[in-house]
Amino acid sequence: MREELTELTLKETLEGLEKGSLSSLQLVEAYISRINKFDKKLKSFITVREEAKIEAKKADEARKSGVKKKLLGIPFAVKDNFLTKGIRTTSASYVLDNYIAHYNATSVQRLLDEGAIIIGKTNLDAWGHGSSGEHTDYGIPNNPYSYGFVTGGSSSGSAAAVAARFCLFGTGSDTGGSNRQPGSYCNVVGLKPTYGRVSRYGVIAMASSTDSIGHLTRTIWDSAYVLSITAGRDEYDATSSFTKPDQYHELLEVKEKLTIGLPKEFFEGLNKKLAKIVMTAVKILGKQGHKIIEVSIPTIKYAYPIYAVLQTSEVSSNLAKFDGIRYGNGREKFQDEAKRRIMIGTHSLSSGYADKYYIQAAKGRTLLINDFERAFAKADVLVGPVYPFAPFKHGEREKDPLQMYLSDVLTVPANLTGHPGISVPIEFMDKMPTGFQIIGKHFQEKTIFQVAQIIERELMMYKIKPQLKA
Amino acid sequence: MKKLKDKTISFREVKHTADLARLPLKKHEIKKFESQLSNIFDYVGQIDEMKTEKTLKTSQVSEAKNIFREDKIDATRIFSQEEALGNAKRKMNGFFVVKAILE
Repeated sequence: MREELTELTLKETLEGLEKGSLSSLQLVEAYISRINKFDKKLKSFITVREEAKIEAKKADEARKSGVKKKLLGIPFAVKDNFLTKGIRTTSASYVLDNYIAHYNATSVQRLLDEGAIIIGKTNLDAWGHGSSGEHTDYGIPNNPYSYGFVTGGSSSGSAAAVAARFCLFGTGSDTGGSNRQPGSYCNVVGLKPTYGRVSRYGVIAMASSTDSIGHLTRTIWDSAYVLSITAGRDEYDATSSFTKPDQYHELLEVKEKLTIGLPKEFFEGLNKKLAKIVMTAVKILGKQGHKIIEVSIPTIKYAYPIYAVLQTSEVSSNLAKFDGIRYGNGREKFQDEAKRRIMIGTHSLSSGYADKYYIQAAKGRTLLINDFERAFAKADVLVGPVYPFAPFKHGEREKDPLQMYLSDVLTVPANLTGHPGISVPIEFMDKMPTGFQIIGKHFQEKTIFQVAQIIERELMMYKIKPQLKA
Repeated sequence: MKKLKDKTISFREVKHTADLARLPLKKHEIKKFESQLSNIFDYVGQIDEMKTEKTLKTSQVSEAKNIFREDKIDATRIFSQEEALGNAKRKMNGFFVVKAILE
């Protein structure tokens, strides 16, 4: 019975709670029992809350007395760079080892206001710095589908926790691919909304002009439903958009024939096995009558170096606040990856170098945006792979930081331009999860959900459970 | 002509950058970062190839322009003194304790 409970998607769970065939307490107990049994090896959580059981009981009572909320009694995980009031928030770094936040991130508050319950804080690459999950001070998470292999990052713990059936969804932040990448490697849906779609307030800033707040879920409906709750203008985040959000979960059926653009630069030199799996997904869209065209985004060649300069420059500024005086430990507690990024950024902005690096990168960003606008004049969405290769073993790419950075080449463009992107699970490659990336026009999340759902309906990868080790 | 030994970022530049960023680095760390940062900047240097003479910078991709709010206190968002000091390692009589800068 317990096993079946945790197998349900968010949609199925909501239906069950509504019908009365299951209770929030049963749910939370089942999830925590699973976490206690399997997370020692998986390491997806940094903090687990037993208090969730008391909150679940209260949610059940509220439901009995007629309270109607969109996520009443639903257990979810919060990536540990999101501030949660009264709950330890570490950003997976010893710099914040015992930091207790005094307020909730807006995106978290909105979920709590709808009755959701925080089951725990998930592991990540510290400060969001990474795409493998290895840059954490709290133990490297294992890929639930293949222990010893990476989960992808930086929202490593949230993706692993959702895949391992430890919670119904996990929040995540995507600055250069950090939701789409672990989504891809963990066989779950990873969403990066349009920049400004979801408030960044209360999420520890990495690169303020590219940070996008999203989540990891088992299915597309689940992802759309959560976005309908977190999206919308927040007066506490000056960059949050006034564009009214949609009821995304109610708009998942495609009403017209779309044009699917394949950026040729995403496929040049791509691993043949991976290309075949991605093209199988493209063919599914073609069979539904959507037009498949090739587009070109020449500036993609420079997207990663542009991102490397701009992101690290913003990181160097955002991490300056961690001086150990008002909160946290001293800067000597930063690990190498954070130190590296702070220094790359500082150097890129420094006198004598700012023109060559920061300003040139900021101009290059404009060229990239123009290329994307030209592509979106011809296509409704752009598609391709998420990573250029399959999940790799722990430590395999660590030796050369540059090699690690190159795993982001396919995801950073959407962060630089602000476009929404999603990773939806497609066929495994070499027995490892693989994701299909769909990028949409600004604020057209409904379209990327629609296209993703076509793939999900055909392949149903969300039904493939990982075999966990106790 | 760049000598094979010359790194894109020198030891001195790494130390200077670390000082600017208030990162306390030991000598062996500076040496380690010297080659890592040099490799990264060698790679990143290709942005030079982009023709940007007539291009404006992009600083942000939101549609937001001149977002202001009323200069009024929002009582729901004020920390109490206890909250504000809640995570400080060193505090005294309601103050944060910092390193001395005056004799």
